[in-house]
Amino acid sequence: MNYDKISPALAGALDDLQAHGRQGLEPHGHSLGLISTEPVHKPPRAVVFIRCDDAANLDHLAGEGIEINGGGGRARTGIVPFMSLDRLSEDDAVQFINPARRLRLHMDVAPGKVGVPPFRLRTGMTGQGVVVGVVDSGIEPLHPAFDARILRIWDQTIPGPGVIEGRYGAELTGDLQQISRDTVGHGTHVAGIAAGADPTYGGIAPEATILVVKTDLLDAHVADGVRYVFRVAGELGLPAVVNLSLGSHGDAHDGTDPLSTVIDEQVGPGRIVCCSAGNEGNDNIHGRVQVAKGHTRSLACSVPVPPPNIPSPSGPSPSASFNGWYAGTDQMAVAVVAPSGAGTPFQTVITGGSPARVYTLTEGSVRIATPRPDPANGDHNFLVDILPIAPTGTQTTPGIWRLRIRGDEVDEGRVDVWSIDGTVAQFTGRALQDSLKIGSPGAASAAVTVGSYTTRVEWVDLMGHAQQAGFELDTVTDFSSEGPRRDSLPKPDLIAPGAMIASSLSVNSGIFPEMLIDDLNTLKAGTSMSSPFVAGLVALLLQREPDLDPDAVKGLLRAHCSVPGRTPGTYDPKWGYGLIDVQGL
Amino acid sequence: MNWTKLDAALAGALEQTDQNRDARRLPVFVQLDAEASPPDRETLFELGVCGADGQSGTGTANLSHREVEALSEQPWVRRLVLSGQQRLTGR
Repeated sequence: MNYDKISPALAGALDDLQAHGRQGLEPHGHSLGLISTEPVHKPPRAVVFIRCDDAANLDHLAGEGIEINGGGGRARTGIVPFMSLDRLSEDDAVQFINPARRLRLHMDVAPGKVGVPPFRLRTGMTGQGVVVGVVDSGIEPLHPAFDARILRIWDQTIPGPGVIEGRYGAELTGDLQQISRDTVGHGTHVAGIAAGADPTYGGIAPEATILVVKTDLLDAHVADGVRYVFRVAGELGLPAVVNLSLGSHGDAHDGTDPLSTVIDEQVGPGRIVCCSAGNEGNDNIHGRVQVAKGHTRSLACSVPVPPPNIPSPSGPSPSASFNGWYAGTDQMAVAVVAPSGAGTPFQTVITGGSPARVYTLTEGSVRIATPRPDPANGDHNFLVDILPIAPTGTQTTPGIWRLRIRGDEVDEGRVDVWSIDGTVAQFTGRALQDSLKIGSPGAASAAVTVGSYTTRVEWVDLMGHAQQAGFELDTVTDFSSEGPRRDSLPKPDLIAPGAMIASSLSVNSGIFPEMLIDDLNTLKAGTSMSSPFVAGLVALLLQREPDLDPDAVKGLLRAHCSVPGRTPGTYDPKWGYGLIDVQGL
Repeated sequence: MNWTKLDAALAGALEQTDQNRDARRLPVFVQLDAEASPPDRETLFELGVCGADGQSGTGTANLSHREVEALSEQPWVRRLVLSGQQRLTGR
């Protein structure tokens, strides 16, 4: 048996048949096309698609109960006894065997809930002639949803001569695209939402050209990826929309960081970038204090037990890192207090030499950097890293660590601090602020930044089990990050379906059975899913008007968004300008 | 080293590269002054900086401690920012 040619769903059904007899096929019957699973005198069979060359002759497979329908083509249909799958899979003319699937009464609900089908029906837009750029974890190049539409993959993670925008990685075309694997599954799912062509769980722009950058997630390399997509699209004379379903909190949260700057430089007529807002709506990653001159305020942070520290050439990984910003006209001093109460001295802005100092406390080392104002925005930035104790590498003590901010010269007095990794350390206590959680690149001024709306909370998985997600249906998803930007610019721009969204499954990624809805598609949630939804919409708009610039796109989208119970055009930190209603676009 | 041109993260990271000042271990953004000339941009290209050879004000590269130091002294370099790790926003 060549299992490489048999879809996971069919292989699972065969295993259950062999282990439990006909009874083992019962849970598969609701989703797969099966025949004679009841005890009768005929062997159990499956209705299948057989992938082969267009001109392949499969007549030699007849017999042993295998019936292949006429009609030719690269996907033949037929009926195959389970016991003949072995023979079928070993035949050189057969490339892959999929089971026929039962169509569900409901198409994937997300597009319908925001009016995509009537829009496409009215306009006929499909994304043809538009490039959708996906800078992400890669793509499954053989997934049928993308058949022949992946133009190139720049895989930044493998050795190679690179491209103009970055002399690393390799640019792959044609069959060589199969060298690149999406082992995470995120990029494949994102690409499917924006531009997949699955008949049941298709994307928003199913005829768009797809250009993929598999990135190592360094923001400098993401910037290179954005430039690459626009350069290639420009060479083809095509408009393009780039999707960035990624983010971080090491920046100023005001769009002045370098990645956001590159985005703002690169966009223009026919060049649009869509970004996810982030998923920290439930995470306490932002703290704020208002400090008066001569006074000190504290931010309490819960730092958990750190993972084992793996030595690396670049030094020990921080147990927790904090990124603080305040007005350039103020002068603050920063100190850190460990759970025991022992602390570092206050460190003022350092104007000569390195602005970083390391202090060793019993419970951990602390590195504090307090440079002069950042010329990008004129504001002060400070960084605090809580590190294992050098040179022994003893791990930091978990518990409540405090950042103390002293106002030496105060004009404004507001200090915003972010935990760079909210899965590690979170703020607690009075300084906690449920706002300003959209970092780079979602904070880029010209980007279309998208939060999440919940369109599905129940489903039946591939094995027939009912599943539920713990979100409230038909409202903004609780994990969607709140704005605005630190300079009060409204972000996110809008929200779109982001939970639970069905889209393309990468065969090279980990599979969560409860999320599988068929052998080609899986469910995911996140603002990662809502951003490509809008990217696909933008592709449809660019097909209609190829010279739309970011302001025009945002204007169009905003005019068709609303927050429930609010006047159209009202901004909300969680909803942005509201849920998109596509049919009027 | 002109420390005023380095962001806080790069200043902190330089401490950890002090042992090997020639290893190209620092992924950075190089932000240029408006007065950067074509020969200046050519110098960056020779250093392996991509993206700063046209009209863009921002290039990217992996640099060593020594190269960061040298660039910080150039009047046409406005800022050097350490590249940070992004996270995918799927759950």
